[in-house]
Amino acid sequence: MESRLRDLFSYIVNFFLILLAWQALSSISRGILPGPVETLQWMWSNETLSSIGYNTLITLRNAVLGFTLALLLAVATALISRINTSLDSLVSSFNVYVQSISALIWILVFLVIFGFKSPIPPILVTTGVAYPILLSSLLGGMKAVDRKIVELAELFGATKRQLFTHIYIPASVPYTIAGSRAALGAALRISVVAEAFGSSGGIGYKLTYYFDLYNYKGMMAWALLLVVLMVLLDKLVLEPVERWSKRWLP
Amino acid sequence: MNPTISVRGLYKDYDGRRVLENINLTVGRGETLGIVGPNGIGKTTLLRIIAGIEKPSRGEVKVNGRVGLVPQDDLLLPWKTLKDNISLGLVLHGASREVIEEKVKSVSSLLELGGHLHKYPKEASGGTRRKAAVARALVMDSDVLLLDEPYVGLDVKTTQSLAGVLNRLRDRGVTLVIVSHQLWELASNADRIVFMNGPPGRVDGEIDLRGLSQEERISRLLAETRRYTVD
Repeated sequence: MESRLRDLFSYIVNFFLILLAWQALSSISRGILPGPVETLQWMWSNETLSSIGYNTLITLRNAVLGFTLALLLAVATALISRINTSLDSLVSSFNVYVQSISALIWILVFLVIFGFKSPIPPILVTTGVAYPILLSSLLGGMKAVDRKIVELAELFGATKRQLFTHIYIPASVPYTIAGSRAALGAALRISVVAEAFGSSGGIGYKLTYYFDLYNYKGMMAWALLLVVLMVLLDKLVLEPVERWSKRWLP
Repeated sequence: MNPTISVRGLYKDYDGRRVLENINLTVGRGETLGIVGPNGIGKTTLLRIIAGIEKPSRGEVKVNGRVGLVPQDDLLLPWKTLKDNISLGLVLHGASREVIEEKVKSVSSLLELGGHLHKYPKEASGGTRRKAAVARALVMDSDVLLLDEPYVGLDVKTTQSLAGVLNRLRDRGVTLVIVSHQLWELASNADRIVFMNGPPGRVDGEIDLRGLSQEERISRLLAETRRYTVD
């Protein structure tokens, strides 16, 4: 409990330090970069709650759908890797290739395929970015399983399917959740970039919209919203889930 | 008495290195056999071969009945509670919820585990974890129980408690093979003790403690301790 309070205190202190740094940068830029107070005032008087809600939901939808698709693909790939050592080696090297593909390449490829106004590219781009992170976590978790535990389960007559459901998958849950925390964060950040390139809604779309209008207060307001969204998602959802998933770890 | 376990001319090689040489053993039904020898002599390998986890390079191993293994490091699944660990084998065999509840309850009562079933392994003491590993093998109605260094790391009270449990199992007709590197750990359990030496690991002698009183067992073990060099 004491460490959680200390944690919360650190977050509050850091929040104010960032605000101070932001204000200092604003002063140095002689008004080109708006400060936190101006930004909040602009948000209050220029954006409606429905616009904030609508665009935030689009970004969340893109990130969550892309992340879910990546998780399903990562679980399927990890299961394939456990069939035999050749497939394990194939999946490991495949993961290295996928990790090497830049988010920008995913964005351009999916924009070429689906077009600039399609809602699909931001979703698939987040999938492309989150997938290797999740796959690495899952493979790491599965490989960390003590071989003797598998042998013991086999002595009890466990089938290959039962080894997955009773041993490999549960053993890799804490690794996957920890990876999910990183992957969902990356998914949100990349979803915004994909929206900026080609989309008709979302936080990324609003960011570029105000940037193109040279409206830096609007740009900073939506950037602030993105940061707050990510911090809240991490602290209120991902961190508690990760703590729960690690409850049995020694 | 028909042997429950029969090991004939067993050899085991790893990458051209011989670790077990010409092992011959028989264990009768309801008998407790102790295997004593220095660390790294191949006792665990022998147990894993009897369990069927590893194959011998040469020789024959026959086991009549269902085998349960209690590994040295317990190997409890850390993400499952002790109750779920104990019932693992039953779940894998598709046993009904009622059967699982009944068997876990019965074995937990025998091993005095009742108050610990909801705990994760990390929350349980070493002795409780060891008992849970024994219970996991027992719920499968094992006829043969193979125990690898069951007393390592346990305090005197827990050692005595576990030794009592093993004696009760023997009285129920369960065949026990207990591996240890400490001769005295087997004093209260074993009907016979075989000594392994090497390398490569081979049977180097045997003492029969059947029919002896506790005092006679102790004086026999004292005499044998002088004959065999054990770590």
